Amino acid sequence: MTKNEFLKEVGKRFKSLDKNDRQKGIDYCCEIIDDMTEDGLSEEEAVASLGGADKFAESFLSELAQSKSDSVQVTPFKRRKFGAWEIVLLVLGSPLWLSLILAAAAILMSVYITIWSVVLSFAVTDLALALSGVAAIGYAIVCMVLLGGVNRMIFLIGAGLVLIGVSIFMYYFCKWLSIAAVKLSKGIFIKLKNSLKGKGLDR
Amino acid sequence: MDIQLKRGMLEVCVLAALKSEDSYGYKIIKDVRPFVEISESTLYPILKRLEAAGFITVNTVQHNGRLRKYYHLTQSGSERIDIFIDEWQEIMNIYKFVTGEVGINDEE
Repeated sequence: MTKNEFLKEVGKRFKSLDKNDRQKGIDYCCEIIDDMTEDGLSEEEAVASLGGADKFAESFLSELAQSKSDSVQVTPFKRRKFGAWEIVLLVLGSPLWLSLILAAAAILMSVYITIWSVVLSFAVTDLALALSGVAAIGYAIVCMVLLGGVNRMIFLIGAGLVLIGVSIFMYYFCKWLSIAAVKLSKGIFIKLKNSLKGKGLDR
Repeated sequence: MDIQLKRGMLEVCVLAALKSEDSYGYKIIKDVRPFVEISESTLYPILKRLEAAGFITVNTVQHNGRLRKYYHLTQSGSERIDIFIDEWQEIMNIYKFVTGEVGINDEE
């Protein structure tokens, strides 16, 4: 593999980094390979000594992630203490900020309820279809036994099977929908948590 | 070697490689490799950490028609090496305890 091919492959694997970090990483690889070739290795030998783009990128990103995690631990969040005047202002302003918080919570709650009511309505419809199918087949048997209507029985059995079949398909759709709803709810929660963290409001 | 311990050791080794003169990535690896296992992929994050901590600074220099980054040990970096050397006695005491050279009830 040539240097440029290696850098291209590594660049693809650095996609999780921001633009600046990605370029710095690629520049670093380029410099190392150039230094190796200056030291007497061929370009292919230099690239081979790095262990392949996959292995190199995995190790690089893993160590970089660990560095970022370590630096977060090194600077612990400092809790700010409130002064007397700040407490007074907080209490006096409570009708405003408290009602804003309650309104925000109500909006968030309504978003969650909307998401889950859609999922629930599909699930209830699915259950209704399944039960209707079973009921249709049951009624068909009753028709045959009590009323002796063969045509009605065949129709009802057919309709019942169709309803049960549709409910089975709908079951998988409901399953997919509920997984999507969980991911969406989780995503909203994490986004909100991160935005509050950035403003230092997650105490 | 335990990964956290190794990480700490590598950082000090990289700083030590810069003690006598400024150096660049590939040379640092060549200087440190005889003493501790270090790869090209692990050096970059170490250099980034050390720079963020203020132990080294970076300069880009023209070299044979291309750019090469040279790393320079700061005063803080030098002090970090001194701290490591001072802490070595403590590490030796722990080593003696673990190997049984010094018992729990032995007095120093």
